[in-house]
Amino acid sequence: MDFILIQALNGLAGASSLFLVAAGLSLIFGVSRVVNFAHGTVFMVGAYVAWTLIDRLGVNFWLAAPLAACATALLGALIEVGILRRLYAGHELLPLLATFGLVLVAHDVVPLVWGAQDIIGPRAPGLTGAVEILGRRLPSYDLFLICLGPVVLGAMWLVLNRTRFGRIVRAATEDREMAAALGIRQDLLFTAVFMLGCALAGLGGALQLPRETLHHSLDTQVIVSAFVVVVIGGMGSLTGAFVAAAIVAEVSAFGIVVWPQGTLAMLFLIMAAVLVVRPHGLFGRAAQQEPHRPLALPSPPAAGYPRRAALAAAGVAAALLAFGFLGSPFALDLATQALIAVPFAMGLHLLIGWAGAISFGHAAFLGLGAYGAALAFTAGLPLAPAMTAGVLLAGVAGGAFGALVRRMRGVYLAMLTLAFSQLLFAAAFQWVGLTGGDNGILGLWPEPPLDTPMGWYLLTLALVALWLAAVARLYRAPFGFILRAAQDAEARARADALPVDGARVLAFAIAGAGAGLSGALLAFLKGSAFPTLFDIPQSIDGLVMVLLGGIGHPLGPLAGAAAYSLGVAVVSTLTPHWHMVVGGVILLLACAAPGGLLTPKRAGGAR
Amino acid sequence: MTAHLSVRDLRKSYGGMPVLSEVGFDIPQGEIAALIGPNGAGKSTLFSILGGALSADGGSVLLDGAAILGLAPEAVAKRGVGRTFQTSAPYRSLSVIENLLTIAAGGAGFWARLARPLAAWPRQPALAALSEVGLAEMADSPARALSYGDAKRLELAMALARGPALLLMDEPTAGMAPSERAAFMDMVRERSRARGMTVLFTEHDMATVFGFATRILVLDRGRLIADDAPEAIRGDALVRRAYLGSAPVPPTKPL
Repeated sequence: MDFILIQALNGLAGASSLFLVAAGLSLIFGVSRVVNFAHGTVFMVGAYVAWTLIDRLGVNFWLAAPLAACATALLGALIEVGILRRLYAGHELLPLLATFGLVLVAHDVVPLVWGAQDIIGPRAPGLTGAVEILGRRLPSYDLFLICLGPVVLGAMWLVLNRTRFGRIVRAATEDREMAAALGIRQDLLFTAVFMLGCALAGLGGALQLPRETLHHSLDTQVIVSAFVVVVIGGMGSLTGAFVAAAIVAEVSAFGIVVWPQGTLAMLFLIMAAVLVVRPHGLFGRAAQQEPHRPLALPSPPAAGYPRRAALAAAGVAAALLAFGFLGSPFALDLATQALIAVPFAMGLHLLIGWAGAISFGHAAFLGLGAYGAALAFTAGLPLAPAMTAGVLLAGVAGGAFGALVRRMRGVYLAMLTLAFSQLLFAAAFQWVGLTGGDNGILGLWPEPPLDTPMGWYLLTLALVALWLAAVARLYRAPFGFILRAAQDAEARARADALPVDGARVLAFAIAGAGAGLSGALLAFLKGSAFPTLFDIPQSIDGLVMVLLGGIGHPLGPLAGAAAYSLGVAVVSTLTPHWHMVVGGVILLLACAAPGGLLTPKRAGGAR
Repeated sequence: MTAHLSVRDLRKSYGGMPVLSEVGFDIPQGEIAALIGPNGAGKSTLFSILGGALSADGGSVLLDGAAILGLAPEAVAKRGVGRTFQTSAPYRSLSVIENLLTIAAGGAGFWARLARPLAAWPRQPALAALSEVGLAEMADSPARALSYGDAKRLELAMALARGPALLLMDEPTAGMAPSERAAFMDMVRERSRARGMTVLFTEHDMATVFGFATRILVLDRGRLIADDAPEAIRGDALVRRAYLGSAPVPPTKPL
């Protein structure tokens, strides 16, 4: 009993800094609709800055923490004014891409500045002791943190409800356009809110120093938990963030004792359950809809594609074919990986660009394709049926998932897809009997002549080309038009008896099958399948490819997949700091070419 | 004549606030009925319920004797209901003719929807529908380039594309010039006469209402306070107090 109490208090202490991060994230999203992927990075930087102040400059901890918050507020101002401000007019996912670029840059810069070793944080002066509760000892600093959470919630409530700034923030959260029409300077408001959010994150990081070891990959861990908190609590709701932070922290505190490996999966399961019952989170309201931004992919030319386009396509195909016979094994390996990324990215683009369904968990289907094919192959099936099994598994899973979420939109849908992929990730890890767990499935080598780089490249090229041709046909068929019609005017489409839901479910199935094809091809290229195929970085890679290539162009994901996978491959052979370079390039491109590498030509009309 | 659209005892409230209470009326086939009332009377709510976008708390809606209340918007549309919206919304990223072709192709079989390019769908019926609303020359322009009035006319062509037995129009002529209004409603009336199509529309412009409706329903604070011929509505003291006020009511056009 006493153990349970202590563990619960321990969890509550962790909830406070989680609440600080999540509150900032939620506030920023509520006002500017920016999903700040770098919020965990800001948290981490706050912790490092506080540590530098204390350890190197001898500043008192209690002064260092607010100073760190000020520093991250300035960092926030720099990010908002320098980068994000240029992106608000573009696609709603663009800030996500840019802040992901920041995460990549920080991934290399933070270890360069502060070193790659773990840092044991200093203790808080005056609170180094412990209090005895029911015969067990609880650090007095934990007690301080437990009290701090409600204090911060109360202070923020006062700011939001009793000050002019707070009224403006609430008004803008409620209705951005109306607030702007009433003469509220949006640029100043966005900067101020972003700074406030970053200050909270930085403070959270600094205050966590005495409790947690500081290391340079803390950011991803924090951002994932913060996302879960914000979604469970409801985007834009402070009370929601507070309650959800407590839930998440408690589940983590007890999960770590009961079932350490399953804790993350448990959190995502809770999140999915909450979203199914309350689609806008515990305290979120339906009124806080994201602004609908029709993407309006262009129609294919009614008279068919011009001869030039057909010739160009044939030329590219011939060059790729010739490359298969001429390229070195290393070059072929890179090219195969780039080709494999194409159906994966095209599937994600089908969801985001055509069906208007944002997915943060497309890796789910990549992993299903790889594991489906791998398991069928190790069970004794020949290569072709094994790969077919992988593609079918991913496609059916995509259709089933699509049927479940066909009415959901926006960030909540994105988080459900993330939860789905994380649950599969956990399953691949935990179900050792079937998947081999951490060790993965090895020995997936195809028979000759496919066992050479050339053989596998040529097979990949053929399958990807077939896939492209099939998908291109779908886009020109009513299917593609129905998806676009539903994005332009959903109520109109339903009143016209267009099968909107059916088309969306089918889009998920096709997108899943495409990712499954990529997964199956990847498994036999690498000779193995690992749980990391299901993991978040894979999904992020897909998002970067789609956004980089150009969401408004049917061929965008092609360009994005090729540019990103080849770019990463080349840069990573040149420098160990390739994250920084790639992140920098993403930032530059997001600002300089917000529509992506390919943007559609349009005749007439606004937008 | 039999009642084509029959609404009985329709009720709806938002968080305890009744917006529709015991609304009931019959509209015979081929009639053009206007639904009028002050803002907040429940007109749009009633339309959303009839179209299937909103659920009711109780009551029944029969179309040709078959219950349509509680069906999804797609299912209501398939029963022969076409509708236009208050803010006109054609598919902006498609060309004008693709707007109509997509609707035609949406009713095709599963495999045809997946495999047959939209460009291979017959253009002739779509072009004919466009010339009915005077947009044939704009067929290949992007829909987002249309003027406000043209977008409304395209939306009418879309609502008529599936040959509806009942057409619901939510403020069809709002924002149009007076001359455009009459031309627009003339098209609707012509179609109604040719096919026996029933029309129910909401409107704030009294010239349009009294010029085209053969029946007027008056809604006030969720209750139907009058349901009669235009001449009778004009003299109704209750309606005057609730909505029309003391402004002179325009004359009924001879039909």
